[in-house]
Amino acid sequence: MPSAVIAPIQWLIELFLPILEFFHEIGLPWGVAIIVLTICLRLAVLPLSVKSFKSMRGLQAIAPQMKALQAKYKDDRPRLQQETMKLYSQHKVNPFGSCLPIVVQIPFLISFYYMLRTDLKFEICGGGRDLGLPHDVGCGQVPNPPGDFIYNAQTFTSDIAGKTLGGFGETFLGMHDITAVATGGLLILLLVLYVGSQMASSLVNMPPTADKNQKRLMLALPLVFVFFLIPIKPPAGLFLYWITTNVFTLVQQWGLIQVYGHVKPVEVPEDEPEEPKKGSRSSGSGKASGGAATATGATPPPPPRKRKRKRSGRRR
Amino acid sequence: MHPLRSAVIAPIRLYQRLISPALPRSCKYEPTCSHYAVDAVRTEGVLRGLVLATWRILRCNPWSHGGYDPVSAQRLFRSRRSSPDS
Repeated sequence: MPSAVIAPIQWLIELFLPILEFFHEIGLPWGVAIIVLTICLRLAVLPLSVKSFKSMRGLQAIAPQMKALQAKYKDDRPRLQQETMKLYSQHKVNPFGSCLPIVVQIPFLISFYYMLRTDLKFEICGGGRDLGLPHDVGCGQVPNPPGDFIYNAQTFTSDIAGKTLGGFGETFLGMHDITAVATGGLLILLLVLYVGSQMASSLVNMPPTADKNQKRLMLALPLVFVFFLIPIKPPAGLFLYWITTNVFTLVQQWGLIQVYGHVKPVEVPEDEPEEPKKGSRSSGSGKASGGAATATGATPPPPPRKRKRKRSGRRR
Repeated sequence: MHPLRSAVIAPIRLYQRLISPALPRSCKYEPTCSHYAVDAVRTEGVLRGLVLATWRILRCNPWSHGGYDPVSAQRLFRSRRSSPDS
């Protein structure tokens, strides 16, 4: 991988590791340390979520103008979409989330993954040294190393033969080691918790504009992710991070509704590409979205851009 | 089209076909960030296109208000030639 990708991840790991060590030193188990770190990260971006929530609520105020636009351009969907977007930016409201927070999550997830597999594993299992342990072996299954003995992944099984196991493993809620790949019943439990929390958090985060098909797709997505997750062999701690994030989202959404009140559903033209071809939509997501991508690819950039020069001055 | 441009656009297309349909709409701009990236790479080339796409994703944050923002409205680069889409 290019160093431009590695460097920020390494930097994030170097940032997180001392924080986790600090939480561990004040007496928290490693698993709780991960949960606390995740909560801290989510609290740090809480203002962003509040901002988005408020922006979605503002939608109710411009509902009449939106109705007028829908009536005016009901035969011209791209135009309607543009005019709606202009209306949003004029009134400084927007029902949609934004791309940046989602893109930013990806390096965080990758660095948690690598940190659990490498640096944190060395920290927990080897007192900071790389013992050359295979990634899917928990510390609890490792014998106490005599002196500076270094385990070798190739000869690992013969190394541990006949030795007392359970050297410096640390259990957390039934996980024998958060840095090891979860297996068996634990894996199933974590997957169920992950899928459940993911579904619940996407339900409460459903934008007021989502239609039935989209809701179904969003709910099915975590199930699809599971198939990608298994070959990646995520350490159990990664599930802790993920589940904590989802639960945080749930609580946060509940809290925002308590403080600011509900977002009433407002009819918004969604530029979901399947709209013009309702027929192909029912035949499955892959096909529908394929058609959509070709449709959008073939569509020439829409004509009405007369006002864009004025607007571009204050775009941010 | 340039093979290099196609190669850069291909993963974005893959995202649009496979991943994006299952997610809620998460872009407050029109065209969305991924469509913008495809347009930018196609009309401006790989380097400028990727810079424009990155800048767009950075702008698509909770503090911005979104709106209609096609590639042809960009102010980052002076247009080299009359773009084919205008």
